[in-house]
Amino acid sequence: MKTFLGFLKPNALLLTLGFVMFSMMTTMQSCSAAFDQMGLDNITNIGGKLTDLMAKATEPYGKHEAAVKSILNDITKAADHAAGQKKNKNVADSWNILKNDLVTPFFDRWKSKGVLDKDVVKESVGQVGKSLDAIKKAEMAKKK
Amino acid sequence: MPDKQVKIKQALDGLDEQVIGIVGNFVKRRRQDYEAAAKKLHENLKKDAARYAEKLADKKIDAEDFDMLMQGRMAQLKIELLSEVSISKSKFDGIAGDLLKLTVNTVLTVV
Repeated sequence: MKTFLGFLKPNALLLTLGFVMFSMMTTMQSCSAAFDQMGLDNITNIGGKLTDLMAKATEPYGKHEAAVKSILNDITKAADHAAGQKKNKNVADSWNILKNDLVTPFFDRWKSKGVLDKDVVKESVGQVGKSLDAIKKAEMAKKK
Repeated sequence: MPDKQVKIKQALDGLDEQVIGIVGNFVKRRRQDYEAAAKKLHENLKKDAARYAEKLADKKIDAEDFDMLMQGRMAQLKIELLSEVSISKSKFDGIAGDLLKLTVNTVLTVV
């Protein structure tokens, strides 16, 4: 290092080191996703509506069909928003898993059976609630 | 603890060593990270799988409900682990998929 930077005068050396330090700090900051208030709002807004709607699956599906379409649309928008954020792949993946592997199969089953048993509804609502908590935890862990 | 519950628990506990084998099929590097993630996934899954299996055996839910709940539980665990562990989703999907098959087949054999 001494040989490598030996040709620089003290002031130029300090300037070079300062530049290197600044570059390292900005690079390190860009390695983690920035806090996203809209991402957090999406979880809060969708979470309550989604679990409330799923809890109604002991009632006929037809009565709630419009609400199902609306909430699926909201989840798609939340997933698209997460995918549009830098360094946010895990959160975007989580929204897609929530939609494709948890919520859609539940609504499809509700639609095909008409009504669901209370045991199934209770377990599914619990799974979705805990999944939303995990996504919220990932959002909260981002630096403000 | 009723006999059925004991059998389900024993069958699921017997899978612990096979979890390590499944991980080995997918990863060579950073194997410890993946093994820890898979063990945690399986440990959490066992408790709920046993409860779903009891409901299936008691005819409180049917086979399709059981299948949906198991798939949903695996999805929940994937989301929980994605929020905690930094591992590739494609590899994790492979591990989780094999783990799900193994757990479901074991539980259904006992039930």
